[in-house]
Amino acid sequence: MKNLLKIISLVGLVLIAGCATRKEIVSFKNDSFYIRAQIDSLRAEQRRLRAAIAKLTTLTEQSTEANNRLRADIQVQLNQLAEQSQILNDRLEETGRRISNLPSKLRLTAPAISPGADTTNNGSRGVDSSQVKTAIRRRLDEAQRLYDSAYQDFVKGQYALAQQGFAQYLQLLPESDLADNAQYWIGECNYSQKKYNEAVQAFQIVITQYPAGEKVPAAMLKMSYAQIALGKTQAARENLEALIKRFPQTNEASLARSRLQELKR
Amino acid sequence: MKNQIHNNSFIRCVVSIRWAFYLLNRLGLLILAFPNATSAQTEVRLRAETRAFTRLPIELKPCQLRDQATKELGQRAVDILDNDLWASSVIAAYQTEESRANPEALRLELALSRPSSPIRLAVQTQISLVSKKLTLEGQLLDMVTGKTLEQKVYRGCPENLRLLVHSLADDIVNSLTGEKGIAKSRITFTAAASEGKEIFVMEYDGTNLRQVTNLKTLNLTPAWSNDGREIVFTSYQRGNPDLFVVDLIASRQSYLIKDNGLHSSPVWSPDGKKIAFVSTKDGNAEIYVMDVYNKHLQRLTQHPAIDASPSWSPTGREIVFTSDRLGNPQLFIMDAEGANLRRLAIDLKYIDSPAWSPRGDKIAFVSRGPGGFDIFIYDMIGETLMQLTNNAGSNEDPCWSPDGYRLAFSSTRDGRSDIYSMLSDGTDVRRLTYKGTCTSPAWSLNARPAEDFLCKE
Repeated sequence: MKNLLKIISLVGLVLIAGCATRKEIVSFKNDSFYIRAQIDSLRAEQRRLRAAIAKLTTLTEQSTEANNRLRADIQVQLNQLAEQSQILNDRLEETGRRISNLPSKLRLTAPAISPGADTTNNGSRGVDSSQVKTAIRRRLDEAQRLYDSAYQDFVKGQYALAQQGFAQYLQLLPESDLADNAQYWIGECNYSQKKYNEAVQAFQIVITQYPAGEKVPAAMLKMSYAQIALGKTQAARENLEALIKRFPQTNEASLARSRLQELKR
Repeated sequence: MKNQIHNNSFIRCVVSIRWAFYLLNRLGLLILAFPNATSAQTEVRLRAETRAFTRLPIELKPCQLRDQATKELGQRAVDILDNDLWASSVIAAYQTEESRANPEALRLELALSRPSSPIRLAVQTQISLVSKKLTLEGQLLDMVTGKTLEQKVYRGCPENLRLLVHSLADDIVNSLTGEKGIAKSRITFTAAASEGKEIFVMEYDGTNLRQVTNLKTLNLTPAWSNDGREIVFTSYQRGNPDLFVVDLIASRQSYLIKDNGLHSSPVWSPDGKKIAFVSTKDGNAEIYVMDVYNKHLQRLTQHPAIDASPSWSPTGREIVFTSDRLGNPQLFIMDAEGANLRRLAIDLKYIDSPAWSPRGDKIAFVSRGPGGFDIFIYDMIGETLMQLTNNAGSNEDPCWSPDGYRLAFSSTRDGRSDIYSMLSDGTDVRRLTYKGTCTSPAWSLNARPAEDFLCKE
């Protein structure tokens, strides 16, 4: 009887143990499922991340490329700007050189007082007149150079520069013999650029401000030509007739006569 | 003046504001590479507008031959290039080979004795010839940095080799100075033929001489159209001096003015739209301007004296001419409308044949001396005179090269009248013709009609 009991208890134990292992197995299985699921989800995560990284990499590459392109473009533009500023500098230098060649105020009446000449206390030692003459001569020469280089600019077709030069000359020496010439050339610069309105105005100044000047007939003729170009034929006709009446013997009057003939046709 | 060397990016000539404007217009078309900010390159400023004609030395490397190109063909190309670059007056070309077209020791000495600038330039040419198709390639190299400053390819046929090399020479000059070269330009003149005198044309260096009219009468005072397609001249075809135009491409002549009176010395305006000439159609020699398109005539001078020899300013806004209204022939300037007339105060007795430089600052003319005529240049900026010829026969009809550095003229220095050219300081005189009856040269612009580059079948 005791033996039977032992057997039963043993079997029971075994059964109990069996139950336990099965539980463990089940739970283990559950665990492994869980882990696999986790691994799967991690893998998916990893794939997503990889894709994201790849995407980011392409984006970065693209933006780097764009950046480089932009940089190259900017470099080219900078180079071009440098070129342009170099050129503008050259022009500025040239103009600056011209201006610096002129005294800031070219008043012929202002005597150049030599340094050390005491004019206040010592009346007998006034300004050395030969020095004044030299200074005036020098200034006149400089103004003449300005005028000449303005004409050179005109000949070379640098009309804006030429006009600037003649205007500067006029500012410096408004009373000189060449003032009316300078004013005439301002008109001619405009005429050569087909800026006929401005040309008419500039030639008009020659006629009104320097009525005794030698450029008046030419200014009257060219003003009429500019008016014809603007379609103001009636005004041009009147001016041509005035020119013929005022200066009948000039070459300009002959030109005016033939132009009037043409207008009549 | 010395070459100034600066640390900057490219080589160019900056002498006048005009060039600055030119460069402004061509920005972005500049052929020379922009280095990055870290590498310092040299900038050479060619002071081209000097009497001394400062030259930049350039080595001409032996031509590389491809396909059927022969050594002789390659050497010919390099020799033509050598000559063209020297004629440009801003480059001292030299070949390190023994066989040089210009073996004067002086040239090499001059080229090599330049200030030892850190810049060393060379030109490498390559010629390929495949069944009558010729390809010329030229590279302008900076030997210091190893950079190629310019690379050009020209295609044509063997008979156009000279013109292709001229194009290369002009492009090299252009890339270094920003100015057009003269290698593609031509000179027309008049010379005795079977009956009377005919119009002839040659390359600027005297090669490829050909007769372009065959009118069997007197044909005089030729002048170029600005596109290089036509020449206008005086012809006695119907016994009266009329104006003719010959189309070089179509080989046709036609009347431009068929009218009573003498018509002579026609000159095409720089923009090609007008022709100024002398006519006695109203009874007295006066200067007229004709509109090329509508044939409208305008008389500019009105004086009982003789007015003759018109020449346009570079912009076409003014005309310089000869007049004896003060008793003896002197130079006068008027604007293109005939107004604003003034005399050039030149202290010489007998002045004629003025020619206004394409640079604008000088007027060449002739003055009569005891031994015949001599050529002078009046510099308008300094109001100075310079005599270029002296005691060498009679020298007449000066005309400017399109770059304003050279003059062509007719001279009897070797006995009879032929055409010569020289630099505007009177040096580098070259004889261009050997016919003994050549007069009235006229130099074209460097525009060359596209047809000239075509291959003949």
